[in-house]
Amino acid sequence: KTITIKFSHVVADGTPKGQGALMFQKLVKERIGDDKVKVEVYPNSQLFGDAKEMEALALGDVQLIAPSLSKFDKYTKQVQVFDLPFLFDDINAVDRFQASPEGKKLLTSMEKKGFIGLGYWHNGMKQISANNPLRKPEDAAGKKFRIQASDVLLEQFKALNANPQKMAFAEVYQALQTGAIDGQENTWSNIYSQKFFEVQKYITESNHGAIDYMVVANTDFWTELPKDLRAQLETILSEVTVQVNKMAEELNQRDRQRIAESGNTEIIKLTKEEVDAWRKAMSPVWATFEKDIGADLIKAASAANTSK
Amino acid sequence: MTTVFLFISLFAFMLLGMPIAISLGLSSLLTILLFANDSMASLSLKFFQTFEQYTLLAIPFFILAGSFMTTGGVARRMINFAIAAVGHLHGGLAIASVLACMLFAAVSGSSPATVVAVGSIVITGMVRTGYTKEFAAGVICNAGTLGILIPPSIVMVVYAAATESSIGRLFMAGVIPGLLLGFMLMGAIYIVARYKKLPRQPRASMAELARTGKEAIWGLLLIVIILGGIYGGVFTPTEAAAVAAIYGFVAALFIYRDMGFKDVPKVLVDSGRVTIMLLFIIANAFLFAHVLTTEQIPQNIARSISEAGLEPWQFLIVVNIILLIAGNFMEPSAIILILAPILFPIATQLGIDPIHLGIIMVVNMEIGMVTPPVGLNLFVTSGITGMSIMQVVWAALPWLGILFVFLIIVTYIPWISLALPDLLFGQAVVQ
Amino acid sequence: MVTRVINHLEEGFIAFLLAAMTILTFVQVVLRYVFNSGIIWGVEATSYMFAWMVLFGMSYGVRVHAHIGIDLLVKNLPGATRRVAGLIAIGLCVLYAGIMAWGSYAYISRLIRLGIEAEDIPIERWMLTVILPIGFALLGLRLLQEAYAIVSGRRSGFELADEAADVLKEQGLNVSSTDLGATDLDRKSR
Ligand code: NA
Ligand code: NA
Repeated sequence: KTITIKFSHVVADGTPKGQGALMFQKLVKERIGDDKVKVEVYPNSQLFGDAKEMEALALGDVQLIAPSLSKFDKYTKQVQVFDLPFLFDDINAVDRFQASPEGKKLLTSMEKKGFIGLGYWHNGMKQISANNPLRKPEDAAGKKFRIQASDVLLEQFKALNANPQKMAFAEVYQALQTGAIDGQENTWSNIYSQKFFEVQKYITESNHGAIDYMVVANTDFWTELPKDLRAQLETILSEVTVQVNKMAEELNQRDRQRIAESGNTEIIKLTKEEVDAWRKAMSPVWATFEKDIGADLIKAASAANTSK
Repeated sequence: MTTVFLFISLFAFMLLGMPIAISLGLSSLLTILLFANDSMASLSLKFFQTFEQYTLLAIPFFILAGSFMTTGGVARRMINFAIAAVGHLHGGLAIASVLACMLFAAVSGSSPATVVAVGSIVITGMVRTGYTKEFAAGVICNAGTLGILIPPSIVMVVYAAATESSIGRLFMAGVIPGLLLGFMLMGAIYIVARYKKLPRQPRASMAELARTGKEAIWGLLLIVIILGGIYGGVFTPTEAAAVAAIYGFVAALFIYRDMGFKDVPKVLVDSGRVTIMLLFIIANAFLFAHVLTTEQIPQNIARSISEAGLEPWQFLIVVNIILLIAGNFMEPSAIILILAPILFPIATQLGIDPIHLGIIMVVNMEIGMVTPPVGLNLFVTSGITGMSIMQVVWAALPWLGILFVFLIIVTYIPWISLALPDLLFGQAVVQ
Repeated sequence: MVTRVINHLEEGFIAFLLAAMTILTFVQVVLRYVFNSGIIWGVEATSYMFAWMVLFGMSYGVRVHAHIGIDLLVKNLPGATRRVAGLIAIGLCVLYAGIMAWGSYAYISRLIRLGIEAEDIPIERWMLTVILPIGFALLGLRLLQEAYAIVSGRRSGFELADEAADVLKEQGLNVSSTDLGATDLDRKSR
């Protein structure tokens, strides 16, 4: 009997995540065969939207999804570690933490709720864009920033005395353009693909946090697969992960370059002192969430920076 | 097989006299139960997801705003102003009625509401001054369709939600086509009026024009607030709808005082009822579209169309034919929710701008509202004039020709739709 | 008496939700634009009120015959046949309500077991979603009432909205337009 895996996500086919899903589909077909395992990819929220894909996975109507990590904070407070500002120096540090025992343990932390993590996929490091230059943290005070649904990010902008706003992703471009909101934070590739740079005069290269995804399966579905098949799928997935992460990094570099060349947006590079000022301004957030996340986990994540 | 079952059961349920909403929902549920293994739980999840689409919130707000505007006498003052402005032309009262429809369309998101708001006042007036009832009814029935073309527009909100297009861009895209259609109707009336020697009103004095303008200013100001507010970054289109509702409330109760506090609950319940009816259809249409997606029907149709190698202009003919047929039988929101997911990806592939496609769909829906057997504008026109449906159909027919010509123009000159949004918001965002 | 109180509460609840949604969204705009602040749970609360209004209102829609459909065919059937067609239509609608109520119940049970909080409102998600099974159960009950009205001869078929009259009513006009289609022949064409 054919096993069907519905892989549902909310972004376009052309993004690293979209490509990863298609690559997974292709490799499964080549190595395992359509007759045994059939992967169906549903991009662009075709099947379920951002807010509901997790619940659909829990119900077992979708088998694989890859939401951004901040979407998990209602299921396990520990994933909030990824949203802590200035925790990771760069994407390599994020990589090292994800490969560490603590990082891997996070993948299985939601098994009882019905989710089993199979790996992390990168989107990249976040930058802050706005229509006024943000060099010092004080420059952000009083400004309205669109944030993703995440308690940590909410507190992060509050720590800057800025004004975090919830807004549907579809409305962000126009809200930035008309000035209904002043800025937002995102990766280079998202800023480019969503054309946010067209309507933002400045982007501060802050690298203050990461946007990453966790590929998760429905626990019952995954654990009930025949053992050898599961191993095969896991191997394929880890190969895909390497490719996706490489692609994400290349895309960020390319899009940063394109934005710089557009002449539309000034990229603000921060000096070491300036970075420290931002770090200090956002640091109260760490204390606020230390209890929820666990001091040990934060320490383990910080340790990923040192092994350069 | 699955597709056949889905559509046959849908039509059978509808013909049996079941509500459209439940017909859509039940045919989807049965298809899933018989041919797929999705859980019913995930379908109720999908149903609930409808209400998390923030843009759809604009629907209750615009319905409420429109209701306050009519009950509160805003429409009446707009009509007086329109008559003072153009009533002295040949066929002046009819031209003024079209102008009033345009003005009211700019504060209301619905076509039948526009017909009622303007028609219930002007048709009697036109008949009294010597127009035939058929002429009056035909003009209003057609001009009322501007309600969904000139922003705000409930149908555009639904299209934006179904395709994740920018609602602000879509609203702006409706402005020039809306004005164009308005002027085409006015021009046609003027020509008929010269030829048939239709009556004209005495020319209003400047003082009269100023007085009616001043009286109508609160309604006219709302147009500026809605479009200016969205463009100026004060609020998103959804929020603009809520602002319009509050504004309509204040205008009706405190400025014009055509209604009192005791009338407010009734306006709320009536608007609530219309919202519930519409959203119940929309949520079930989402279920229907979900089944289409899981059965890969849009993907397959898209593939066969792209394999057929249609040119964009040929594809647009197909689009118009499908939409015109559907528009004869179904409710606009349901049509858009079912067909947009199928047509949208193909259009994108062929390089047709999603916003342009949206306007084409809206114009088709306008035509659907004045064609039998199901045409809401026909029904309400019959309701306010006491004419039979068949009489209204014949009365509306000559003007329908203008809508068809207009559809062709809008379909093949994308500039008409895209010029304003491109000017205001820059070139389209391609994902 | 009891029925009248219930009917009033039904309408009151719908009116309240619509007013609250509108005011909350308006207040958000004012807070953001004038006071440069905002209610972070505002968007989520508005969405849930929206959902409650519609899900609660589905059954109300049956009572006041607000749901639209195409009844050209059944309306012209002879009495007894029309009644039977009405009962079949209602039966199918009850089937719909039943399946949805059952699916919703399964969904809510899963949410209760998940025990997750809503995005910004600090209560569990199932408490905000529980209107789903309730709404469909109420829909089923109201439909059965309609069926009883046909069986007991108080109604001649499943009544859908007179949509045109509804728009007229909503716009504050009380022009009667009942049986628009059916009266075509009665009206003298002049
Ligand atoms: Na309009
Ligand atoms: Na029609």
